[in-house]
Amino acid sequence: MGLTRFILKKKPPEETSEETMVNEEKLRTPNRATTEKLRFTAKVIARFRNELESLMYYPHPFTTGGFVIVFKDEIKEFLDCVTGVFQCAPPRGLSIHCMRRSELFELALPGVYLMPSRVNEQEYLALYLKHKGSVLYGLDLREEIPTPNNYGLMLDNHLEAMTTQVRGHILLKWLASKEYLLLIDEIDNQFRYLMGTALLAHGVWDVNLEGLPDLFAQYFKNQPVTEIWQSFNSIRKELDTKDDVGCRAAAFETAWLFESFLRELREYTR
Amino acid sequence: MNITLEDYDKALQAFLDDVETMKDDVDSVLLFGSMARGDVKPGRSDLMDAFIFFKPEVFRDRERYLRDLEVMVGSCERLSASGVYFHPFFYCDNSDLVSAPFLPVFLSERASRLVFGKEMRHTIDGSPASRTQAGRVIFSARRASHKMAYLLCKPEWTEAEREVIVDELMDAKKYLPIMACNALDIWPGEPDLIPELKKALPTVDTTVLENVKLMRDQPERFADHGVLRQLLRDMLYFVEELHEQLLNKLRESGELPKQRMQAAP
Repeated sequence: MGLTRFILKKKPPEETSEETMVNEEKLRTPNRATTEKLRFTAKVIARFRNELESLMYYPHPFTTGGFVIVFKDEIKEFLDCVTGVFQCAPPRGLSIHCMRRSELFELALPGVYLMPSRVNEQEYLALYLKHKGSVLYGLDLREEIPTPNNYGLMLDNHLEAMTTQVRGHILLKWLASKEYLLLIDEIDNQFRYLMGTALLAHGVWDVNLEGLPDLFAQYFKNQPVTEIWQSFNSIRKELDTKDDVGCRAAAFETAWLFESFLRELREYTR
Repeated sequence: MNITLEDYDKALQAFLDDVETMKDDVDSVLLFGSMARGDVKPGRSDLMDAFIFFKPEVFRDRERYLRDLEVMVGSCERLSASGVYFHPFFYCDNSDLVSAPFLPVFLSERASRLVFGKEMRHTIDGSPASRTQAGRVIFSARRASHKMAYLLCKPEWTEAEREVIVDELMDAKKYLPIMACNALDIWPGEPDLIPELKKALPTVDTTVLENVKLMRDQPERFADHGVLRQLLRDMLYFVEELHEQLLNKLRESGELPKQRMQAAP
């Protein structure tokens, strides 16, 4: 309670015109993750009350989301502020984006694909921050953040990253190390992420990992793509009955379906 | 295990023997990295920085694809057992445009080496999508680098943290000049990256990149935590300086908004 009260405490009256209070409902949920978020937020505010413009939280359909911590443009020792933020014990697994107010547009620029270790949060970051995020302290700056405007380009990039990175970092690496089930699970995830990017071009952004294949099927009525997804699902369902040799064959078949899915989706969206 | 230059040569030959069994399907194989440049550091350089360019029909023929995949997986199994640190090579359809961040190695004959099949470096290009992407990733990479600031204030580092710092510094040295050049729509070959960056942003001090190279070549000089800490600090300041200068340059050229967007009424 003390922490919540601390976060809810307003800045001096002359600075409160655009201030939004913390999303009470979200932060009152009594679980460990929320407590960690609260502690972190409180520490950042206590330390940088005079330097901060805004502290916002965004959820994300594929990750646990993160914080956008916006400092005033006139801050001279920006790196000291960043260091201070990371000394406030950020909750594990959440992304931290420190930036000046004039840099907010960067949240809508393309991010880096590092498959399979990281999800490229950038595709959904601006959309989720604007439409589902919350302002935990300071000004509501979400109107100043643009959303990505070329989803065709985004899909091309995602397809290209898949062909460059998945082949070596997932297919070859995990086939060679006999991590067949890991490979099939990861390709399942990668299929879903790609479906999500493809759906963005149709204006569909409010998604979750579980429901993506059905949504995708509604918008992409393409028989080869549908059949590939069905074949992949059959492989997944039959895995329980397979021995090592069977799992190996399933993993190789998954690699072929992955290549076919990419090729068909590329041709369908061209 | 004492790794020698001969181990790298043997590994390359074994890899090419495997490629030979797919010769009807492979158009070309290019090496990049230290084996292409001829500056392998035994025990420190990794395997296998290579691109296999397949004929496009391989990716439309299930039997052919699976047969070639078996060969490549077998090759990876053998290479990973060689004792030299190994990561899988890349493979692609030779009609694909490569991902733009790879252009610097293919645009320079000093940075890549043809080891199988036909010369096709003059035909390699990055797609418009990947050029656009490559031109903007420095902004999210800069934010990702901020997490390293935390280690600056930690009085003591664990051995694992020290390794993370060394790896991150090496990555920064390798990728920052590429990302910065790409942000400015400059696409030089690998050896020209830093000179081109200096030409475009003359006041950026790139000394820290040279110092990271020194750390790689003479690690004993950086064994002291204080020296490594200074290098990390310099790199983080370099990233911020680079970011600021890029923003100014891109705003001047009209590629980025000059002022922040106004909130909607």
